[in-house]
Amino acid sequence: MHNGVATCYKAEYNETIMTNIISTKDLTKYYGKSRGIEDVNLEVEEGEIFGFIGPNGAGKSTTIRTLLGLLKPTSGSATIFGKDVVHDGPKIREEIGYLPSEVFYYDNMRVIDLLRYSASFYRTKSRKEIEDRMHVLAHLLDLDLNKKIDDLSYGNKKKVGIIQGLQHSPKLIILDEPTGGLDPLMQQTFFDLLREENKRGATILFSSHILSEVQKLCDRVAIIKEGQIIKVERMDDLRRNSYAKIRLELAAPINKTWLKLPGISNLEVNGRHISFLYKGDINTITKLAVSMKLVSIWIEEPELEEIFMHYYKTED
Amino acid sequence: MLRGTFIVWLLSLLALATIYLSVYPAFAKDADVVTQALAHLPPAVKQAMGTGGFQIFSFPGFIANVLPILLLAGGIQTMNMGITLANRDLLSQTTDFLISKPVGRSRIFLQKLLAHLTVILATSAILIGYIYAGSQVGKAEDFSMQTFLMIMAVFTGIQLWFLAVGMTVSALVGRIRAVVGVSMAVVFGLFVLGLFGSVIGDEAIRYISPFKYVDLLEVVKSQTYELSHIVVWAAIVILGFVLSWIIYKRRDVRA
Repeated sequence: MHNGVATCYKAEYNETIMTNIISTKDLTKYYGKSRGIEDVNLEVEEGEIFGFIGPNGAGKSTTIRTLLGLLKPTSGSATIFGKDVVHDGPKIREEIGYLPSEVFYYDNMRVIDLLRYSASFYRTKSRKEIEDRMHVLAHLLDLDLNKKIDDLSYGNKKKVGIIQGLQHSPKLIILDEPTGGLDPLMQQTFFDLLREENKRGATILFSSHILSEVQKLCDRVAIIKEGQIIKVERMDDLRRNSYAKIRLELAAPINKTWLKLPGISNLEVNGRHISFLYKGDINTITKLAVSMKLVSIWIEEPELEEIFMHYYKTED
Repeated sequence: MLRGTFIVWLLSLLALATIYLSVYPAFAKDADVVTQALAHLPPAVKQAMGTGGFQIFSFPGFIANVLPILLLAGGIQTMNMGITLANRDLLSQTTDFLISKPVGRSRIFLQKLLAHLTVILATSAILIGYIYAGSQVGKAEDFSMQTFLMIMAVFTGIQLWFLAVGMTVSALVGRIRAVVGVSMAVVFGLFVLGLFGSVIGDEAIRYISPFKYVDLLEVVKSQTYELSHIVVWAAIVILGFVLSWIIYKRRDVRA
């Protein structure tokens, strides 16, 4: 985990001036009367791996599909590489690699023909370099290029998706819940591949509802709920600096003042055992704790899952 | 996919044409008997058949009489193609793949349309060449190239008309699973409507059913089309292409 975070922060350590690769302003999409996303404002900086988390139906795919030009925004705007996604779609997509959550290809084609067909769209890129990269990726992912798409398992189709998304070495990689169908070993290979692409300079937007994935890979994360972004934070801040998961075992029953202290959430009281998430000055809480008769105290880094649930509960 | 259906349909059309071409020599030989037989048919039946008396025995007259069956088949072929043009990607959900590539929707649409137009022109060219060759082998009498081409152009016209209508239906409705069912219903419906129009002599129906835009026997007689019907044909074809292009450009591709 720490390696992943360190990699993600390289851009910050370099102290280069950040430019936004993706920028949305009050981006809104309605499907008729039903809500897709509302007033989404996102800034994804060059060179970062940006996580996009939220439960199913929160609006992750709608945001991504609007960025890719698959959906037309109802209002608001979005730019990628400084160009408008509605008007400059084809030019923008020259430098994008996209992997959707479910992959559908022409079943009668062989894998290699589909990948070459995919490569043929990138006119500004060297065909030879794409072809070479295709073979390297196929070898890495252990995929037989001569098979027909129809004969592939779901996981192998996903590999075809990964190759068609990465073979042209795009500047921006957009992944919409990409790991479904990949076994744990292949997921690891895929994540290593993404880190490698990121080192090369690629910016990555990674959407998922599986928090551990985002935790492994990303340095900043946006949390989306019911079509609206409720929080954008550095993963580091989110996980370590802002919250502590505290468990106490007391000799005496609980002092009610605990419940009134600001910064406490997810409070659970079970007899003499208390657990909660704490955001604030750690000295305040430890002073208060030692003023009571403690049997034991545990201060831990909370799982992202717990933080996430905290956001979902407190924003309700 | 398009190539496969093109070959199957072309072979079917050629087979149909072969059957008619093989009948023609015997038919021309028995001209007198047939004329007498036709004379005894009730007027309404004659009108529906549009057999136009003796002209059936010239080769273009003969083709004009058997062409409606080829028009019917050709119409179904291109109505299928029209519906499938955008529908196929929607059904197989490959639109995501295509539209996330660095290519504008207008260009995708134009390339698909050009591929379909190529199929239509190739079908017409091969069919016309084949029937012409057949007429030469069968030593057809009274062969007028102009009349023959004017009659066969109706085949191309019908194919373009149904392509445009198929594209429009598909653009307006969205995903269509029963492609053949829809196109058969529309093409047969309009065909029967045309026959019905002939029987009751309703002029308005001649503007609705594309099978009646051109009076084939009138072409044999006077080598002319009726301008008003040609205008309606062109308007529907152009409107169909433009409307389906606009919808294709704007459509949301949902997951």
